[in-house]
Amino acid sequence: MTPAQELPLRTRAKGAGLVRPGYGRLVALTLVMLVSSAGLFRVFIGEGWVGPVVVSVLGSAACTWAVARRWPQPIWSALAGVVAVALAVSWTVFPATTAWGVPTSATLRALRSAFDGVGPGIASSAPPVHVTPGFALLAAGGAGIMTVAAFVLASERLASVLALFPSLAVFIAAIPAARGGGRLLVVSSYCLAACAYLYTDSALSRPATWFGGVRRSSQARRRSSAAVTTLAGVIVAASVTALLPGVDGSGILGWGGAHGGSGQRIVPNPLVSLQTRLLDESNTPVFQVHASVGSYWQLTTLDRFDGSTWSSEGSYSGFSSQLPGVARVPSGVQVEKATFTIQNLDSVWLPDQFNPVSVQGAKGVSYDPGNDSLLVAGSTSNGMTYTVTSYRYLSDLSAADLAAAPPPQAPSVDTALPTSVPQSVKLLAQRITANATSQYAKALAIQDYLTSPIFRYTLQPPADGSGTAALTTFLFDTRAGYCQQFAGAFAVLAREVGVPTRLGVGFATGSPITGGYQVLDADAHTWPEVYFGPKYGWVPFEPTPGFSVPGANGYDPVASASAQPTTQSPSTVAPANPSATVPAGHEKVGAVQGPPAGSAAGGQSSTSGSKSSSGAWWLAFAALGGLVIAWVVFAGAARFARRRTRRLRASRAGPRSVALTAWQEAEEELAWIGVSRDESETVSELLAKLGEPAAVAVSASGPDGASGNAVGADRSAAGTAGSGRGGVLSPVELARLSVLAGVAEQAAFAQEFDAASARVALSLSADAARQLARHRSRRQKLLRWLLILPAMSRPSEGTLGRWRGQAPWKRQTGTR
Amino acid sequence: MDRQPATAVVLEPFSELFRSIVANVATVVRGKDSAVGLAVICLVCEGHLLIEDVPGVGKTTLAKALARSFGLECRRIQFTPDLLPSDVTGVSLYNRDTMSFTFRPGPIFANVVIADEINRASPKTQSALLEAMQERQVSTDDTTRPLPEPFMVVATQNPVEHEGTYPLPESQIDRFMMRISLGYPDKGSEMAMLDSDGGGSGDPDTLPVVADRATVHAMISAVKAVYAAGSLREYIVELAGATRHHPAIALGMSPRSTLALQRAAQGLAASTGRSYVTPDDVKTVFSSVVAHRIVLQPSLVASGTEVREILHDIERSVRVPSGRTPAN
Repeated sequence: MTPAQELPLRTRAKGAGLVRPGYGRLVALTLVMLVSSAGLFRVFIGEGWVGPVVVSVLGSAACTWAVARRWPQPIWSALAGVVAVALAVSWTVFPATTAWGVPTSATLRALRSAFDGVGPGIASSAPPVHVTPGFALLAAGGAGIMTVAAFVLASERLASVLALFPSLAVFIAAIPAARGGGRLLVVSSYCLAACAYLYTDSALSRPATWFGGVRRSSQARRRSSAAVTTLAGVIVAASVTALLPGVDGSGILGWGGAHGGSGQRIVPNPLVSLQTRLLDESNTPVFQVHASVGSYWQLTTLDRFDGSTWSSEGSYSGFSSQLPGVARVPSGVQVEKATFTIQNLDSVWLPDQFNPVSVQGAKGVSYDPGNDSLLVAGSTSNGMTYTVTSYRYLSDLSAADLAAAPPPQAPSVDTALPTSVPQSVKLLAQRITANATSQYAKALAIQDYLTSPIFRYTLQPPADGSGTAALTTFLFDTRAGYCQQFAGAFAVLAREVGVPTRLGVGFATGSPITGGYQVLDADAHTWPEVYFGPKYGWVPFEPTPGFSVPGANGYDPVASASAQPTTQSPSTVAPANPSATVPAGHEKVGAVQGPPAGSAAGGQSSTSGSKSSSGAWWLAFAALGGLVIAWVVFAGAARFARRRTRRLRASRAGPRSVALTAWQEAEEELAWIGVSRDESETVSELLAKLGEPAAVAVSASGPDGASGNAVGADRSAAGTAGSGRGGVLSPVELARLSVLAGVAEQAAFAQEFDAASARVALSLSADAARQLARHRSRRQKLLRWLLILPAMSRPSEGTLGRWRGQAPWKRQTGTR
Repeated sequence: MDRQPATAVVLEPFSELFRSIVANVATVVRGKDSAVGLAVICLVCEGHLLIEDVPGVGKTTLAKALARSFGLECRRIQFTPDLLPSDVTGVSLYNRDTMSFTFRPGPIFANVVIADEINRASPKTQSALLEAMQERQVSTDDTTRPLPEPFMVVATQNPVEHEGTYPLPESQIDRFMMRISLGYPDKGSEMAMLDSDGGGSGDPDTLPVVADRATVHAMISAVKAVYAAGSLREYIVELAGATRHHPAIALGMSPRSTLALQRAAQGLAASTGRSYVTPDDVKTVFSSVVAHRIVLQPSLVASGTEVREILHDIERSVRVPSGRTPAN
């Protein structure tokens, strides 16, 4: 050990804006990062993310710290940390692509393809998700980079408190998941870890600067500030958790225009909640249906595909019982009634059968004939009981009818595809339907293709979601997925050959109970529907293996093959004229009809599912940004208020206090340019740091050294004293500061002190503040904006370095 | 506590006088202004000085020049193993003419006594100095004779010559206010010494007298009047306490040394014309006043730990006092 290392204070005291973190803080900070990353368990299904994240966090922490120990410039430690993250990700996420532990070009390719999948993956899915390479990359890389940021910030002399922000970002990113419990656990464990960090961060123990009353009970003070911080953290975290939207949309609903108003209403993408329901494999009872025949219970339909997800827009109007936009049931046509009792359905849509005509018993519900969906006013429909009357026509459709149906004039939205769908999909669709002439034949061909054995049903698909990336992976690569992939592929393939399609979202029939069906969360399902013109309307198909549309035996070979007795309606009474049974409501409703007479809730609201898919993430970032802005505003206000009250009190207390306060302010300004005084140092020792040539060397080594140096050199030409040769401050500035320090010392130690000297001190302090502001680097300016009190984040050099040296007496006792 | 008007009058010329004395001495001891300054402070603080250094760097010259500048009487005692206590204090001889014992004062009866190579004398002789240094009086033959005012012992010892030396007892070493070392001159000073044809290495006895005896007394009282604030006294006591509780130190500062520390800081403050002591004053003299009194733990002595390093550590562990601002 060289003497310099034995006495780390001397080297560090020379004014670099950097501290090497002590061991306790390092461990605490690593813990904070790990705990905040642990919140990801609510985002992912399975444990595949744990390894990459932990390795990434630990590896980057160790590398950043080790490098910062040797080379204190943040750029090197940051670089080392990033390299460590890259290595950790390569080893844990793409181990097969590395050669002897070294990433190869294959790693890069894998990285790029995984990264490409991330964007659409996020847009089209909501937590919890399966751990795909893309998500593992995102989680491990994000946590690692944030760790690097935290460690670099922790070594920043003025910013040790800011080191908590990166972990906060990870923490908030992990919060939107609404997967059952664990919220409280996550929040409280994060707060505990953050508290531990603040406790070890000696900055909190010494808030005062020179001459300022230093509190003796630093231990007690530290405890109380840690407690206050924890409390504030819990409150903030709890409110953030409550406000952030979950996948169930409970958080986001009710914002904006409520039902009855006329505002835009944004609701979560039903595909996303479908995904969650399916992937969760939860057996929560959702609703019971009392009906004689089974059906798919439809929540809504989606007809817009933007390349990342399916969505819809609709105009909803209130009604009393007869649904708006739907023709009344002609007498003689057979209807079916189904009574729904909602148990625990996290959805704004109500389930119904195909082709509803009227609904009884539903208060505050509005209907959109375009999407065939019933919308509740509130965020939940739990406890509602209502009866839906519908035409029964599906079982009466025959293959011959559909085959003979002319190609319909569908709105372009039903055949539109985004440009992001590759040409290969079109070629595939044309190949599949090469021999098909009618629209019906084309639909069947696509259905046959997707239900052929080369496709495999799995709830844990390699490429989740319904976006273009997931779609192409599903069609050409993995050929494994669940209903979302199958239905999405069907709809896109059909649109490629001009067949208008949309996605139906809802539930499969469920399990039979006495007089009806019990539907569980796990029965969530999606299926494609094909438009066959106003005569036949939207007809559901079923490309997902193992599923069949109840009652579709007439036209769907899959349904007839499965021949499930529960789904097969025993009734064979055919309506006199099938065409008459198709309600006019199946036509697209362009203009919204006014509310029917008798409808109290006559407002309209429109929904848009697409915006919500990324809304949760967007909101998380917005919340983080808002938090930062609030902090900055608060910081500025707090600094202003603190200075003001201090001056007022000082002027009441007399000239000595005024002079001391003036110096204290100057000292705080000095801290902002990276020169601070330890408790055991005198003012002249502080000023010596400014005048020493060594201070120049240190400041020149920083990123902003050039400017500071130039100013110093410029001033020294006109200066008087020789000590300021290229120093941080010019000799004139230094001389003013020395005079101020002298006056302050006089106020502190002399027998007599007069008001005139105090006034001199005040004006000198104001000068110093102006001068020092010029010497602040960009980094220091930024930090100044971000921090409440310079003292709050100033680490004590003494406590940091005193016992870290290797001098023999220190080894003997360790503590004093 | 009122400030004495006299102090205000004296302090202004004090610093000027101080500077001129240092400049005067510096003509014979070149390039050692800070050591010379400490020696002068020691004199005006009524302290004794221990100079520990290799032979031939000008220890004796410094002491002589100091005495000469103030126009004080200077005597030199070369300590040897066979030196007797009476050789220091003086003896009573039978005077046949008067038929009585007459006291023949020893070399200690002077204002500045140079005790050269003090650690060569036997402990018995060294102890003869003890009373003189602390009580400023000599007792022989039931008679107590006061020493002249001012009185200062400038002792020198050679650290490298361990053969035939007796280490100074702790009680005696504690009576020295400061220990300084001169060290080798830098290149320029040494060249000037050779160059100046007797001017640089000149005889201290031919130096001009800058101040008189009365001035010394005025300076001594001025130093005593320098104000040490309560927080500053607390700082000194805390420093002392830190030396006593430091794990590396077997024997810390004595109350006598606490007093000496404050006195030396007062002297330093006065030398800059200040009427109050600052923490910087205390820190500046801390090492010189305290280092020789500290006894390290035996195990650390063997490992070669520097006392100064530990003192630096102590300085860093004690909070510098502050005036109280009402806020925070």
